[in-house]
Amino acid sequence: MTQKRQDTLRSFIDEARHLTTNLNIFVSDMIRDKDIVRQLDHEPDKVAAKYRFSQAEIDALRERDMPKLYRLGLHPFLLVRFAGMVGILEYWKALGAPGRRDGT
Amino acid sequence: MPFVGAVAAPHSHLQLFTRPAENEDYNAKVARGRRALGVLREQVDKSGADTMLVIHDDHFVNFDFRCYPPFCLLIGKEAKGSGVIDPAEIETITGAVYKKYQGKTSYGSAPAGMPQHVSDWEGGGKPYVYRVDEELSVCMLKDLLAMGFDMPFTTNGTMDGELVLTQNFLNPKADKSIMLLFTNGYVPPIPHPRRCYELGRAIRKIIDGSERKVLVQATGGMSHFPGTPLYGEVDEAFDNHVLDLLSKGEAKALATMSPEEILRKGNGELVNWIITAGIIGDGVKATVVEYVRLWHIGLGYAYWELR
Repeated sequence: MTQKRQDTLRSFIDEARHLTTNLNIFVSDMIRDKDIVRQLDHEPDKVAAKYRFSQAEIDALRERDMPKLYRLGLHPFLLVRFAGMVGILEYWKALGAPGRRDGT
Repeated sequence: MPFVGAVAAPHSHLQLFTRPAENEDYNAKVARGRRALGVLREQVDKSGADTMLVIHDDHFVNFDFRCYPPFCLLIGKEAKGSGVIDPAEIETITGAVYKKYQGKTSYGSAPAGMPQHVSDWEGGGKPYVYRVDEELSVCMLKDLLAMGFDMPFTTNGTMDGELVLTQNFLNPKADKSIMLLFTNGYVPPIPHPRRCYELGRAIRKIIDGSERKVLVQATGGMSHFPGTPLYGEVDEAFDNHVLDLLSKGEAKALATMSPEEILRKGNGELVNWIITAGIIGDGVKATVVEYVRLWHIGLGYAYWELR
């Protein structure tokens, strides 16, 4: 295993940062309630208070900063979900996935 | 002889997609994987099984960060799920002739960007419904607890699209009842491979005490790093090492690895295969049918038959 791979996976596998952030609760809720995407953009302070987000967490969510969200502990599987729900659909487009091709 | 064999196959949705369509080499690899699933389907039929114990890592469908158990057994009469693509297309690709979804008029009910199979199907219904072997599931739960395995249970057996995919291929008529053992294969800390193997040994005792003919199906794998910056890397050397161990009947060696080691190889879902290896027991050689590397995952296909 390369050192690069180990370094990249450290925050996820060794430090398990996903266990100590509410980012994952937030995205889990998002999967079940698409209005939460709107709340994130239009009522960020309310969202941040509800989920007790740090400034770095709420900023990364609003900026769709995927590398930062990964390092902050958003689980990689939910990262893909989050990306899709905020309109970043390259993955699904590449697969030609029905119902997801153009986000409709 | 209630235990009638086992199969291991990936649940990757890439097996149902052929993108990029213009890449002939890629399409040929997908076709090889589908043919391998056909071989496994023949093994399932040949086994005479009337129940399939399916060991599958949940993809944030039944569980989320409020509770993520290392293992969880479904107790219920039915398990339901949506496929990852349009049912008509699934039928064409897999040969599934199961028609439970007939009468549904719209496939694309998912909100923007959300995978169809984790959303409601026209308000909560799911197109694929499988009969669960409730009696043996209850028996297994009680016996595992008595044997010292504090097995959680759920009565909500929602099947994610990847799980449905494997049943489309391997149980195309849905004429075999199923049992679902959910695992945690991708939320560190994942269960220890040693414990997975021991759990498999205990499950084998329970199956052997049953009158049902049970075939075990492990889903998942092999190397992939979904959602991480390493998406696209595949540890082919490790995958081939695993398949080599299985073919020599030395799968128990996998139980000596740490959870972190298998995760760093992109193989967290191997927990499903290690439980299966425990059920089979040491010394029984697997037949490795196929291994293909797609753009972000290695796909391995194997079966064990009792001689």
